[in-house]
Amino acid sequence: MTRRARRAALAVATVGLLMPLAACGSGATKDADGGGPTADPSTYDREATIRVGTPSPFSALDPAKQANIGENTYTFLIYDSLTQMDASYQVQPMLATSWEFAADGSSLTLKLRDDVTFNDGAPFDAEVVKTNIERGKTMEGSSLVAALAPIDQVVVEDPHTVRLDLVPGLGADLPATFALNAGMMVSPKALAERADELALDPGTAGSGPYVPVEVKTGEQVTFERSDDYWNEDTAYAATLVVRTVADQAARLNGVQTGALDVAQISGSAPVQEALALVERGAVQGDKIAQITPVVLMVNAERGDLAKPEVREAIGLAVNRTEIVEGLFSGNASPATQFYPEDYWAADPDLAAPELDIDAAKALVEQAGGAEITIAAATGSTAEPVAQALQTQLGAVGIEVDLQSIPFAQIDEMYRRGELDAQVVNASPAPDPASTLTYYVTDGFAAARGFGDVLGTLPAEAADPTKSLDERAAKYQEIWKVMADNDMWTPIVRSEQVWVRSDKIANVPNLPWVRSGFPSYRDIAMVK
Amino acid sequence: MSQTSAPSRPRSGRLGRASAVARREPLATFALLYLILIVLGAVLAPLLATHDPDAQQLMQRFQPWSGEHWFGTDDYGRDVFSRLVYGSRVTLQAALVAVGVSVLIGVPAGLLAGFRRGFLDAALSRVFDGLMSIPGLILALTIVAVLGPGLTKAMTAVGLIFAPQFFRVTRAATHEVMGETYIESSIAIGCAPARVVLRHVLPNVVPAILVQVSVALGVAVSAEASLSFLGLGVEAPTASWGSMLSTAAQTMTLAPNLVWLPGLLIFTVVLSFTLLGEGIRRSLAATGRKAVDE
Amino acid sequence: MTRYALRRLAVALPILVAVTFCVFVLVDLAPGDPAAAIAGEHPTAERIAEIRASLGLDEPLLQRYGSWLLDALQANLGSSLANGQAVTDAIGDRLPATLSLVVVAMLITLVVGLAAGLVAALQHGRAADRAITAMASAAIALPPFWVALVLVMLFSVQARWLPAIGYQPLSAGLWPWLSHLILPAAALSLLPMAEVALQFRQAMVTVLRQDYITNAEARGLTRPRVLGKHAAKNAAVPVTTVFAYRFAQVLGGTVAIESVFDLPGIGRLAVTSVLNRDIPVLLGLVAFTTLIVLVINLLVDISYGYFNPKVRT
Repeated sequence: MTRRARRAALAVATVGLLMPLAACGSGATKDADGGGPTADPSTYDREATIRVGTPSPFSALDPAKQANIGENTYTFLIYDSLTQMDASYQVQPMLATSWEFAADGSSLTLKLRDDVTFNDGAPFDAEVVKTNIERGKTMEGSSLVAALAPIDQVVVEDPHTVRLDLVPGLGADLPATFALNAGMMVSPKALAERADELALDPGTAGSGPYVPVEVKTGEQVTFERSDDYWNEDTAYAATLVVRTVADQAARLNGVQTGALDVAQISGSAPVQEALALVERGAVQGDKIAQITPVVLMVNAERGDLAKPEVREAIGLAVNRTEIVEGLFSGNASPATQFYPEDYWAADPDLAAPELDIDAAKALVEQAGGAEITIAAATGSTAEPVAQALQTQLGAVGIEVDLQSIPFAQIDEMYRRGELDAQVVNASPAPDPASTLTYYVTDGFAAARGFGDVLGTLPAEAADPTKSLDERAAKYQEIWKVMADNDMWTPIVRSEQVWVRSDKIANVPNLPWVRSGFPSYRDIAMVK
Repeated sequence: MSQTSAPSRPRSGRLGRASAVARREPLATFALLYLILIVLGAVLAPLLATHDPDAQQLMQRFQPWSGEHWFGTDDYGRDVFSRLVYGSRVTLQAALVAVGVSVLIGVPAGLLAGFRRGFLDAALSRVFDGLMSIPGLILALTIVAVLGPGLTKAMTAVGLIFAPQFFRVTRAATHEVMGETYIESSIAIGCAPARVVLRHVLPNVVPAILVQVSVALGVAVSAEASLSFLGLGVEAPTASWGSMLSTAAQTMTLAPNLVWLPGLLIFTVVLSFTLLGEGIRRSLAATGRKAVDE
Repeated sequence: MTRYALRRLAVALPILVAVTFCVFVLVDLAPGDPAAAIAGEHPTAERIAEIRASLGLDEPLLQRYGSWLLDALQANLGSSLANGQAVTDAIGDRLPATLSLVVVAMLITLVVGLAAGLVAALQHGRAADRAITAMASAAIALPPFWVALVLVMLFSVQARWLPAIGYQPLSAGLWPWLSHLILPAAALSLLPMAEVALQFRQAMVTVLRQDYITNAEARGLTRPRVLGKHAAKNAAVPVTTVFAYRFAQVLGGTVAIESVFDLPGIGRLAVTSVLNRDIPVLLGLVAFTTLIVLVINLLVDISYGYFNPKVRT
């Protein structure tokens, strides 16, 4: 232990020169050459073992059986996907080098890489894409049915070109959707020989930069770098151990004692605690602004929330400044819509309603008072926000009862219409079309109880024949309609901290890091 | 507590007896006074508290001790002193619920089983074995999952878990006592069973039960903290010592004072319950079974 | 003795059935649809119906319990709703960590608890007795998770003597295994240890006052012999009771401790399963842990017979 401590001290002395200790770059740094928490790739230790602590649990490591977005943290390493998202949430090529919608929107054609081999030796080609998509659409128990629903059939045009015939009017979100598990490709050999085993033992079934050599279900996965990966600018560490550590304090302790090299910390108080440790020099940390907003979803068909005055009052009574500067100690920013301002479909001019306590009070009085129940998932980072809302809404005469419901039940209960309101981390999908379906028109159904205010806007915005700019304009209109009708209340976008040893580099550049579920394929340890 | 065996220096009146006990058991007496103080604090919470315990001031989080906030403020800018005062109500009630449930279930059943033996004993033992064989927190988890969150429900579960302990200790002690010749002879000469149990058996098993009560009260107060740690405690924003402790544990670096205060209170109160229980046990032994003590 | 043990075993099985049935009913009453919970983030109504059917959730309660029990008797506890892993595997994977933890904790409990209790009883009323009683009372006053957090702070984060999180199997070596268990086991054993010490002390003090002990000493038997043969044997009854009871509690206590130390054991599996409403795993866990505790109880019952022959009749 003492030797390790001495070595760590030495590392501070030497590496400290390369990397500023107070690493608080907010947002992803694009500057890849030295400076900030990124370091020159020539200094990376290619033989390193990096131990990652994540709060995301995993149950199935088969892309078609994944039940939640957090499992991508593991599957991103094992499987390549057709596309990927860059740090600013733009779709970029991966296994597909380019893609194009037919002029009439009837199909999407993807050009594929021709130099990719699965880790079990099977080659990657258009047939593989067809096999995987058809499996995702038809396999019993597939979790990809909804995501792949826009695809009518898959046509192999040549070994490296595949055409997806689309259901009319759908499919604009496919290129972005392919950046997640819906676009992950599994070896046809593995599918033919041992498809049922993949969820617990994926082995060499992917073409990704890492091969899982040991899977302890629900606990941790040990990955080793695969030989001859097609992309040389990734998989810097020889071994990755990704471990589910549910407890925030355990993750912090793990990094402090060297049992973990890097760990993700979220939530207002834990982030502050982590930053206090960074300030004290106990650990290093990268503070990264998240995309996901914490929002108040309301069911306009229930109780006092059916009164438009009450919903309007909520919008006027939420004090975002107090939540951002107080509850989050400035480690957050106010949110007004699903996506942050720099995203292509966001409306940079959409402002939150001005705080107006008196007007809100008057509205509540007009409605004859109001009593609502706000639910939040037990132990979630949304819970503190719900507590703050209870006080803020109470100040204008809205009596709030808080309800804590386990993760596995809360969303389903909300969807079934059993809850008045829910404070939730509204994780935006890669494409706003899927986000809108999931949270607004279907699923959480923020539009429930508002009649037809959105009209044909969602369909128009999801039209694959439209350009990105045209779609963006439609979405901006939608966000505005939602705000004007008080269909929901976006509150805050928080920042998370990746605490790490001083040798870990590249955290801000990890793909998906701003979603809170990063791909660790680019993480590196300097020598 | 038979009248015939008075303390070594006979005194008249309850007060005199009490002061004798106090002199013999200074620690227990001190513990009792401390607990009375805490209970008074809980009863008089609205008078003592300087602030509304749930009133947030988000711009005043993690404030140090000051004239305005005697013990500082917490992660929502709430007054820690007021939360501790009001939290004592929740915590003490929770402990009483758990121990009350377990005593009410465990002790009568234990007496009955120990006294009657035979089929009733076997049947009761099996029932409590079954209850006892479910690891406690897993049962609490399941019950809370079914009935929904709520401290009283969780503490009832804790009480259920404690009950077999009272049952077994009572039953075992009753068995021991039943083996004594004087019990056998009282039954032989035709004393009514109820009279035998109340007059001869119960007084002799009380020390064992009291030790259990003291231990159980301690465990109940700290069980409240453990339940809070697992997210099964009192619902936000209501304060309990356990919830304050487990929340503060998240920010040990940032605000260590938030950890020490509820921690200290839990520690001292549980300790006091234990010392008091021990004191009572010794006093009972001294008065009731004087011959043995000397 | 064998017949006695068999008779006890014969009543243990109905308990197991009763306990699992009660949990089965309890879980069934709970709100929320397990099928919806495992359908993922974008479920369709058909998909949920499909899962319900595949889980047999549409069948009547008794029928479901019946088929579960039949399978369970053949060591088949079904498979996890969350990941399809066989429940026996899921428990088996996590058993080593939990068993190691519980065994080390119970060892600490017995060794330290009995030693302290004995010393206190022999020194009854003197300084050592008071000190031990005070420390035991103090130990009971500390919430275990809090002790765990403090131990991690002191011995892992500050001193760097012992690891803060994780588990190493015994096959990785004795010290790597033990070093990961010392702190959690210490936190876990504090309460039962104190209780064993107090109970043993109390029982010993009572026994030592009994006439036959005094008589034995008067007959000229040596003190250690009296202690070992007569006193300890009788005092063991209440202590074994506490031990058996505490075993279940320690097994349950792993839930919080495993979370603090990030030990991959069944306590954490229980929390995850409750949150995921992973019914097969939850049922399997309750059945399995209950079985373990029943076996321990059985041993304790038999030891009652040994310590106190009157019980056997």
